[in-house]
Amino acid sequence: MSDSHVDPAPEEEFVPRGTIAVVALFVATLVLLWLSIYLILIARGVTI
Amino acid sequence: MTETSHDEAASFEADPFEQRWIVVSLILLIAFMVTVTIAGFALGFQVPGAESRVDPRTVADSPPWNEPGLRDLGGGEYAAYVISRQYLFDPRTITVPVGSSVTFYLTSIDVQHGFLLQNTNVNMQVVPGEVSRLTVDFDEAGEFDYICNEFCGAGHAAMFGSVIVEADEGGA
Amino acid sequence: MLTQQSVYEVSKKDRRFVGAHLLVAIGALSVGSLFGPLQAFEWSGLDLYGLLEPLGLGDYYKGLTIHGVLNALVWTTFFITGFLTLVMIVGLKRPLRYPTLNRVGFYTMVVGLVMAAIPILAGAASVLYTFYPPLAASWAFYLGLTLVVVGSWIEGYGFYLTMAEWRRENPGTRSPFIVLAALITMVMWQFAALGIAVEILTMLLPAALGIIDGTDPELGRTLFWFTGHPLVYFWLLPAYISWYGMLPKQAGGKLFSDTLARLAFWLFLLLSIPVGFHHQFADPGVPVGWKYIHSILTYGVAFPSLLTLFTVVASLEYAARKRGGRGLLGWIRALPWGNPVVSAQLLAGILFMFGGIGGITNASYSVNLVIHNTAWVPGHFHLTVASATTLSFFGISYWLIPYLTGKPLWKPKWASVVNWSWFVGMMIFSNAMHVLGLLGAPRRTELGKAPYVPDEWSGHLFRMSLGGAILLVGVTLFVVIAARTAFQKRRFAAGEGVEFPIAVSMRDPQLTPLWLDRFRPWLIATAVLVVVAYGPQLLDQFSNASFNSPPISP
Ligand code: HEM
Ligand SMILES: [Cu+2]
Ligand SMILES: [Cu+2]
Repeated sequence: MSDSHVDPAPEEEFVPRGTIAVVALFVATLVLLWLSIYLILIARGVTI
Repeated sequence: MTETSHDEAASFEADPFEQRWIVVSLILLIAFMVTVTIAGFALGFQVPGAESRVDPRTVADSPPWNEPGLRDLGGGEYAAYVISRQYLFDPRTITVPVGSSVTFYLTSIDVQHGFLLQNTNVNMQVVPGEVSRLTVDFDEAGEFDYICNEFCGAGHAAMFGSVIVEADEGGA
Repeated sequence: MLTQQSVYEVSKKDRRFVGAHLLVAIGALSVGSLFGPLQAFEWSGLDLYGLLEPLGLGDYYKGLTIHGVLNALVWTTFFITGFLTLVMIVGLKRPLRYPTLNRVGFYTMVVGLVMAAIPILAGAASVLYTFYPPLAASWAFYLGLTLVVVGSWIEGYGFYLTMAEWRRENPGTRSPFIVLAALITMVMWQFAALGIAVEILTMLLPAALGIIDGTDPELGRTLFWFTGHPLVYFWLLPAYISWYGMLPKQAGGKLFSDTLARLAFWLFLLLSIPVGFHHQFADPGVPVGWKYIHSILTYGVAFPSLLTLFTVVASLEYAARKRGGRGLLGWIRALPWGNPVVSAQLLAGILFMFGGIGGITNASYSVNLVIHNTAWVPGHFHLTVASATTLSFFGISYWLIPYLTGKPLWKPKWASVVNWSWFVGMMIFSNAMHVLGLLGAPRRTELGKAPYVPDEWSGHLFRMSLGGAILLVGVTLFVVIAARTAFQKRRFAAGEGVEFPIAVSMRDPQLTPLWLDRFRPWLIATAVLVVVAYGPQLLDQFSNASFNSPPISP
């Protein structure tokens, strides 16, 4: 193994709590913004 | 340290939290999918499809495109044939009574144009050789501009027209 | 275990070669970006095109063509090919197998650029960067663009041959992640660009040369967007290479998951092509069923980006915690925000979250009718190509130019000013554009001259040009920093310098399963999916094609 990208040390325990928080915020924003545009579609009426 | 020992140890492994995120994101995407499917195919919020083809060089010579404009189909239903060309829509205005349902048919006799009818979901690419079609119900009186929203040349910014939706004569 | 191998020393010639890419890229950006603020000002009623009239650049749409071509096509393509060349060399720790081939590729791109620039400047190609037929440009414009694409392919061939050689030299070793990702990006691009190649060679060029009388515009659109959507991934994936493979290191941490990083790239190869009809939801001539299928597949290609979000943020969180960061969100402050290389990419990532949300909205079938060809769309892609990509490339430039030239970054504090002005300017600009789109403002329109603009738009038009002005400050400062860095006399003192950042993975990449390091299965799957998702409709459009739409100069 001569590759410098390899970390030989066994990995310490790392729980990505903050990542879960960021991702949850992202999902909330996504759903809210998406729904608001979807509601604009509905409010503007059918096309057939 | 042989490579084979590595290959045997190799496996697909993801962090347990990341695995959960994979599940959540798939659920999220499926939820969006279901919602748009219902809107598009059950509730009538549909996109334009393959309507019909025409010859852009001669289309304006024969019916219905030789007389662009509104046709009263009876029962509050109308068909509007609109020809797009640099840099105007023909007809420039369309007048209908409130409560009517208008199906717009568009084609172009020169370059590509767009047809964006304000405050509605009618938003179509207008392509030479093709007919674009969408329907809209006008439930409120007022004036709704239709704007060319595809670049069509130097005078593009001036290209628009209006639908005038007239209130009921009885005032109901 | 052997000790870590010494850093690979890139030859001076190769540094110059990569540097030449950057020179063209940043040169293109500096000219192309000037028109962006002018467009924004024009929309809000401040028409400055009169000032450019003496230069022959007084036409809004000529300027918009220059803006789209130089920024979206030239700045990106040249930066990407240059950056990926270096990724190949340093990642594999070996020179290119056939350096001359790569040079041929580069000069083909340069010749193409010059050939396309002449008719654009002469006003004979004001057809915007999508050149939709039957709007007609000079043949030299189409041929020039073709050469740019072909040149980038040739550089890609050089990469493949180098990789093949490396495989021979290193049997049984997993390819380095950044190298695999660079190759996937190139392969995807090569596959994708077939659409535009066919469109130009069978319709646009023959029509421009008078060999055929007309084109089939709807077929042209379908072929264009076959390439058009994967094109946006060609812009984005190099930024992802930096976010996955370099940023963790620059932030002081490790790559959270080598396995998922590779999986994400393979999924991009698989899914970024068979989704092009999501740009044609509003088109006639394409049945709703095909549009629907591509809408669903587009949700599929959103998935690897959602994976990326988790992996990249987790890598950053790991770095921040190692630096002493605490709290559920407080760790974010512990990231090295003072380093402009890092802050550029962090801010690019934040802007891209909004870009991604807009993208999922755009892809949502009939929801697209709310925003198609409105100001929302440029609002959206200034968060993607003009932020996720461009601002990340700024961040990369802050170490890449010093790395290539051996000269320290000129005024790193000012580089931070660039990043923040881009972030703030873009937040204001793109928000205003999104809102304008929802209010019904069309894109690609000299709006200051439009007779239909209601008063209710004016506040947003003003915000848009305010954002544009801030962005102008940012991009100008960036170009100054890049030039001052590259052309200064000062050099790194002995022992100083920047290293090429390669993030270590938390798990030994050798433990990544072999199927994530093999091209053949993924290439076959990609080809099959493209044939299934495009074949029947393409066949239909080809067999019913009528080339009866005569070319018309704008
Ligand atoms: C300096 C800051 C920038 C400003 C203020 C700006 C502003 C604008 C505006 C207002 C438009 C819409 C014009 C119209 O639809 O009529 C536009 C279009 C566009 N911009 Fe930018 N822009 C900037 C930088 C960039 C960058 C860095 C890129 C790409 C890397 C980019 C890529 C594009 C593209 C592809 C279009 C679409 C052109 C078309 O519709 O044909 N812009 N820009
Ligand atoms: Cu127009
Ligand atoms: Cu797309």
